[in-house]
Amino acid sequence: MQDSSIWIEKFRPRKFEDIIGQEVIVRRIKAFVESKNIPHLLLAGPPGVGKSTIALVIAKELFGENWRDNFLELNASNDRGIDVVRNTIKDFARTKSIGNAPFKIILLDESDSLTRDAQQALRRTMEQYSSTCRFVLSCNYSSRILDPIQSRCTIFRFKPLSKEEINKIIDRISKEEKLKVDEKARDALVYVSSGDARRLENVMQSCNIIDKKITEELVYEIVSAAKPKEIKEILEFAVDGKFSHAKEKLLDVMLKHGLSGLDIIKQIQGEIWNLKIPDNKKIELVDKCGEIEFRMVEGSDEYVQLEALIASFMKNER
Amino acid sequence: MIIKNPQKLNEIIGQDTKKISAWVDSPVKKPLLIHGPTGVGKTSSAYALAKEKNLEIIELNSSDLRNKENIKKIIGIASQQQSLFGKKKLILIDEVDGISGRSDYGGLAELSRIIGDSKHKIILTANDVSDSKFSTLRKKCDLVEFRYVDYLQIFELLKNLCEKNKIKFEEKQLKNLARKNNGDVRASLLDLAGSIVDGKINADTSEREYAKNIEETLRLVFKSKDANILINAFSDSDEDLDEIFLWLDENLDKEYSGKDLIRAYNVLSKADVYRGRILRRQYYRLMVYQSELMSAGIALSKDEKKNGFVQYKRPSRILKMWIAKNRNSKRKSIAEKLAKITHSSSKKVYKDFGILVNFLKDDKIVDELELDDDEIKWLRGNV
Repeated sequence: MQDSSIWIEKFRPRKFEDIIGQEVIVRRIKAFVESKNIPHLLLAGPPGVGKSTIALVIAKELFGENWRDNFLELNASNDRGIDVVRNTIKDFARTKSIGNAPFKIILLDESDSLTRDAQQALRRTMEQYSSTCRFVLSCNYSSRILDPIQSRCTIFRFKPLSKEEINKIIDRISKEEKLKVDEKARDALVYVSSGDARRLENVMQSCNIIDKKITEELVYEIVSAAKPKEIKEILEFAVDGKFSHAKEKLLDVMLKHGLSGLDIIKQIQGEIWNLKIPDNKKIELVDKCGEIEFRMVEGSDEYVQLEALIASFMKNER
Repeated sequence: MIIKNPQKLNEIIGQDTKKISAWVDSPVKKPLLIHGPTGVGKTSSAYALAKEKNLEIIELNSSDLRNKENIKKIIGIASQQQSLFGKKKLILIDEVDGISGRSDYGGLAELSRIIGDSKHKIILTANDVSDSKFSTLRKKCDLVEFRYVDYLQIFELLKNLCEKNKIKFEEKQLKNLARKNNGDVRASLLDLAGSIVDGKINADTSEREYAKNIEETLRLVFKSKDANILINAFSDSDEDLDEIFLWLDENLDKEYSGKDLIRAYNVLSKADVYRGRILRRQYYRLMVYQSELMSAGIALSKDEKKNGFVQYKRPSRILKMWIAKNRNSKRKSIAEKLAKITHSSSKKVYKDFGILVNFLKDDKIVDELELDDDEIKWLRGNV
C-alpha cells in the first residue's frame, strides 16, 4: 500500500513488472531474487532512473510484508564518515536476519560520496558479513568507487529513460490523476525531464497544483521559475562591460537560490551559444568554461573562479 | 653626511609634480590635497614649491593642536591677511588624516568648511583619506596622488648623493638600501645616512620593518608596477594570504577595468588554484606561487594605473554567505525531511526546491512530512 501524496512515492513501482525501462537489468535481478540469493550489487547511473526503486523492490520481493525489518537504507543526508561504517552498518550487518529472510540488505545511496576511508572500511565489512548481509550500493559514477569494492559487486549500469519510457510514465500518471496533457506539453515534459523520472513526476505534480490541464507553457513556467534566468542577465552585464554589476548579481543569485558553483557553470555553458558575441569568442569561452569547471571540482574557490570566467566574457577593447 | 631637502619641485623623484606647478600657477582657488604613503615627498613638495615660487609658508602640522578654534584662528587669520613682506602665502596643513577625533574636536569639520574661503593657496597632505569622514574634504580639494617610488629611481638618488659627498659605495649596497624600504624615499635616505661609517657604506644596516595595514598593501598592489617591491608586498603585512585574497577579490573591479580586469582575474583565479592545491596536499611551499601571483601577478596585469582615489571595501562575501545560510536553513530542513521519505538525496531535493515548492505547501503533504510550525510558516510565506 502506498498512500503517500507525494507522487514520486505514490507512483514508485512496487513490483518488477511495474518498472518502466532498464529491461535487461530488471530481468537479471529478478532472476537473482527468484533464486532467493543475490550478490552484492553496484547500481550506477544518473538520478531518477530506478536505482533505489529496484533496491526497494528486491527487499519487498525477498522479505514480504515485514521487509523493513531486514532492510537498512542510508542516504547521503545521513552522516557518512567512517564511523557510520564502523558502527551503524556493522551493527546491522552482523546480527541475524529476522523471520525467515535468508539475509539482510543494506542500501547505500550515493555511495560515491562516501569518503575513501569509509570505503576502505566498507570493503572489509562486506566480506566479513556476506553470509548475513548483502550490500546494494548506488552511485552516479562508478569510477568514484574503489576498485576492491567494485570487484566484490555485480555492477549494473542504468541509462536515462528514453522518450517512449517517459511517455509511458506520463500516461500512467495522467490516467490516475485525471490530467490532460496535450502533445506539445508531452514534448515539453520529455525535454525538461531529460530521462529522469523523479524530475518528471515532480514537474507534473507542480503543474497539477496549478491546473489539471497541462500545457507546454505551464511546464516551462514551472521549470524556469526554478531555474534562475538571472544567469543570462549576469552574462549580458559582463558582455556589456558592466563587470561590477555582474559580480554582485552572481553572488546574490547563488545565495538566493542556494546554487553551487557547479550549478551555475552548467547554466553558463548552456547560455554561451545564445549570446550576441562572435562565434570564435564563443569557442574560447567554452574552453575556458571547461577549465573553470575542472578547477572547481578540484576544490578551488567557486566565487573567484566564476568571477574570472565572467570577466573573460567582456569585450576585449576598452 | 647632510641630506638637503629638495629645493625645487623637479628634484622630487618618482612623482608627477607637474600637476602641482600647474595648480600653483592657475587662478583656481581650490586647495590641493596630496595623499600617498609615508616618505615619498608630500611635505617636501610643498616646501620645494614655496622655495621655487618665493612663497611664505605657514604650516600647521600634527604637533599643533588642531581643534576647531585653533584651525579657525590660524588659518582663518592667515588666509585673510596679506603677508608682512608682501610675499604671497602658502598654507600647509600637514597630515590631515592625523587630526584627532578627540583632542582636535571639530577640527576636521571646521577645516572642511574654511578651506574654500582662503585668499591664499592651501596644500594639505595625508597618508590615507579613504575614510568617509574625509569625503567632504576630498570633494573640496584637487587630489594629487603620490606613490611608492621605484627602487631604481631611489637608487639613482642615493648614488648621486654618495658621489657628491665622496662616499665610497658598491652599487649592490645602494640597491639594497633603495629596495628594502618598499618605495619610501625618506627611509632610504635616512638608512643611507645611518650606514655611513668612515666615508664608506657599512653593509649591515638594520632592517626597517613596516607592518603595513591591508589597505596599504592593496594600494601597493593596485597602484605599483615594480615587481621587485611587489614580490615582497605581503611579507610586510600582518594579514594572512586568505584575508588578502578576499580583499583583492572584493576590490579588483574598483581599480581595474577592461583588459586589465580580465587579466587580473585570470591571475587571481590561478592563485586560487594554488590555494586549493595547498589545502588538498598540505604542501605549503606552493604558497610562494600563490603569493607572487597575488602580488606581482595582479599588479602587472594592468597596462596603466587608474588615477584618482579609490576607497577599498571590506570583503562582504563571508557575511552575505552567513546571512543566506541562515535564511536557507528552513529550506534545508524541509529538504532533508522530504529526502528521507522519498528515498532521494537531500542535496538533490534542495536543488530542485523551486519545482517542488508548488506542491509542498499542500496540507496533506505538510502533514506527511511532519513539518513544524516554523517550516510551514517559511514555506507559505517566503517562497
